[in-house]
Amino acid sequence: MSINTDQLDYLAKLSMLLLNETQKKHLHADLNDILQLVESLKNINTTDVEPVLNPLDATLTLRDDKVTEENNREFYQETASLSDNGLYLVPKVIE
Amino acid sequence: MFNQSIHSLALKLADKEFSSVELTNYFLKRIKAYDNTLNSFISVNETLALSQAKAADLLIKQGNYHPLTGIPIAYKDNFCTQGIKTSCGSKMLKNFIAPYTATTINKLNQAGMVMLGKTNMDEFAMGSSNETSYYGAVKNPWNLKKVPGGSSGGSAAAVAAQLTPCAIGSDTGGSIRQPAAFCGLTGLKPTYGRVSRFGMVAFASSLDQAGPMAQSAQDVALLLQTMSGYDANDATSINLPVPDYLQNLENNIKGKRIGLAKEFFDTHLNDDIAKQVLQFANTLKGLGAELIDISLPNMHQAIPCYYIIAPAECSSNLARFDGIRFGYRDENATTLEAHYKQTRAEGFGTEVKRRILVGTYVLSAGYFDAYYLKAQKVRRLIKQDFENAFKTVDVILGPTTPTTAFDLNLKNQLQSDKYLADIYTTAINLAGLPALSLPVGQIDGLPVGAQLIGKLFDEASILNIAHIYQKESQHHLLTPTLFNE
Repeated sequence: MSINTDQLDYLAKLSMLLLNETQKKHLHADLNDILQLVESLKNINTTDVEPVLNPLDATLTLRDDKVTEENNREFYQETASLSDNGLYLVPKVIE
Repeated sequence: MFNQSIHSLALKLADKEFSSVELTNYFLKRIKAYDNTLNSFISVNETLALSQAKAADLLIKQGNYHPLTGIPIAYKDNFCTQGIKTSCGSKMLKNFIAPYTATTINKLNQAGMVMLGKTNMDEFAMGSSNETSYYGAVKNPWNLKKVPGGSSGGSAAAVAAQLTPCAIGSDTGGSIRQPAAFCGLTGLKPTYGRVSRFGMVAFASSLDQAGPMAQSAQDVALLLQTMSGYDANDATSINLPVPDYLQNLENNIKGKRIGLAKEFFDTHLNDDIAKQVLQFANTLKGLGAELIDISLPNMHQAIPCYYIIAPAECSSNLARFDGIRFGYRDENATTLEAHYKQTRAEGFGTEVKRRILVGTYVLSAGYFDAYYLKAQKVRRLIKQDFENAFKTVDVILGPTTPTTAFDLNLKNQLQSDKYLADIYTTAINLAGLPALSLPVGQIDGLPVGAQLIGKLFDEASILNIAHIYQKESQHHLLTPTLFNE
């Protein structure tokens, strides 16, 4: 299985990655090489085999629906490059 | 202070042969002298380290200390450390100051360990040579033209060159064990869920584990004892008691059943490595263990399986890096979409982009069943192979890597060939099992590692066997002459 350049463009769009033409050329070749590596899985019989979602087949631990954390918005927002009054700032989205 | 195990350093601290401040200064001096050559550290925290050392000395003076109190350590730079840069070897986080500390590091801090700094790594833990780091490649202390392995290459090089007596790494497909093998160290990947992942920046959430890297199995056991345990902040942390790894170290290995899987000794494996690994097995037989031939029929599907699952999970985990709440931000974007695309294009390196794109593909509509779901089913088969094998053996033994450390800057290599470096390590992550790599020889001055794989939560058995072997052998005591005192 290999992908064409249109498919690569679509993947770049889904991944929110801007790629220039040189990068696209190299990544296209790399991706097809990697897809070739993983092709062999198709030949393995997995009829009635349960997929592994967690390596220990563990299920999610639940806890009581109680508030246990404090509001530290100002402290945790210090890592943002642009914020104002509790809001994260982004380029304008509404005209 | 040179080439001492943690165990030995702890005894000397207790005897007041030297203080933790003196010990810390010793390693800080060595870092200053040698790390320009190796590039194993991203950041060194001299002031913090010395204040932690002072506090440790006070605890030791008061007689109120832990076996790890006052011992210096380095942490791979994908562990969050409050108030200290946590870069994951990436431009994306080059200015990220973590607002909290990873549970694993908190536990070691509470034991009184002294943090020397954060070590270099392949970007976001993706790589097997420490060449994808934004901060440049790390060199192997045994031969500066060779890679130290990856992604915990900085941690491995720093311990091997004795810039720190021990370090913590992370392992998703071999990233503790492979650099441990390339650098002549003992490194352990615990059972999935044994050690908390809270505060360890996620690469592949169903595969990642934190683990210790040090000179010996005894040192690794000491660190693992403190690192392990349930953490309510990690939804995948397992609530099971932690055994006394140190007490079990000295157990007689007579009658221990050690499996040798033929799939590990395939055409990819260098002949000399095969000889040394089998010699290791025979030494264990001489110490009373029983060698049993086994098979892991689906082991060769581990690489294709891993290179679907790991990129898939990474593409999801790395979606959070969008320049809004933390990390690098493209300042010139005029639309939100351009902001995301440009920030991520500029912040991530090529290997990370490669894996995000592969991951996005295998999870996308129309391809999910054929790739990701299929890989999860093959993962079940790989897991079952190990479960079946462990019905007749206690531990499985094999090589860690197909070759010794390879050259830096290898040109014109296919991605698929690079990924084959992980051929003997990835199956273990897929099955969630614990595994340890230890040095068992050398070829042309480069260390050779062998792997011991245990049943789920049976780190005790693999540590025990490694320790008994290390009482008889000297390979783990060798240090690269370039960095000797």
